[in-house]
Amino acid sequence: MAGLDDIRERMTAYLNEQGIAAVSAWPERERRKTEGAVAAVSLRKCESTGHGFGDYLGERYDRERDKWEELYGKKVILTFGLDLYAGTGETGGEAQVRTAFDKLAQALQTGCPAGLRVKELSCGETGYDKAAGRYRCPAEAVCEAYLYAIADEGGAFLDFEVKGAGQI
Amino acid sequence: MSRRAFDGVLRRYGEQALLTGETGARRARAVIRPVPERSGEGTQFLPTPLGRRRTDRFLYLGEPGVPVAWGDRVEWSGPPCRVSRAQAIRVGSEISHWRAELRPEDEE
Repeated sequence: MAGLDDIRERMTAYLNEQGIAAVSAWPERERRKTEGAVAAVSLRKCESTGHGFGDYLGERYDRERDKWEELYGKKVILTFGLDLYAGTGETGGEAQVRTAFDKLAQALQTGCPAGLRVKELSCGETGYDKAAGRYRCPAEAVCEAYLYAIADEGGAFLDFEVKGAGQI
Repeated sequence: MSRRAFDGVLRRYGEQALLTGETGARRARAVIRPVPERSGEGTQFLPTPLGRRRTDRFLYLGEPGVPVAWGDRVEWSGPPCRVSRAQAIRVGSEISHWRAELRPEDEE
């Protein structure tokens, strides 16, 4: 696993902890009734910079395997879709979206899921999504993260995970 | 359909529905039936970023004395619904009945 498979879930969990209703986009269940706006968390883009795992981070000893491992890093830029949906037939959907974006901005200014650092947060104009039957405000957050890979003595990469850029 | 004839239909085939909206809660007798999809296209559920959404609709034909408005919540023997459109149907100068289209609400 690359550590990217559950990255949306980590963002979703962080937002819910901060009091912002969020779901990882396209869940395999029926849509739930909610009060106020809900953020649909998707991974819109993942860009890596540089070539391969070129940044040598050092060595560490794996006691279980009784071997030294080399760690290599790679910076990635992740763009999360945080589209806000509101309004369930009653009025007030647009106001709910504005309130939710304010809370979203507050939550991502003061923190972030472990391993990620927000570089940009933006939103677009609210419109009405007929397919969803909801007001929708496109929003996204550009985050910086490090993937670090573990190579064994032979130089083969065994696995790689997301590691916060701020923690390296 | 005359008002008297429609009253007979309501008495025989109707059920009690509870309408809740900006004008408060009120009870009405109504015939509520699924709207058949004639096109054969589409499915009962549509995937959306927030989860699957029911796409089916119900036709509401209710008593003339209880107005129905967009956004009203309707509780009846089927799934709780919201009114997506509503009109008063008139015969001459008097309202014969209220006709509305209902869409199921999201799950609790």
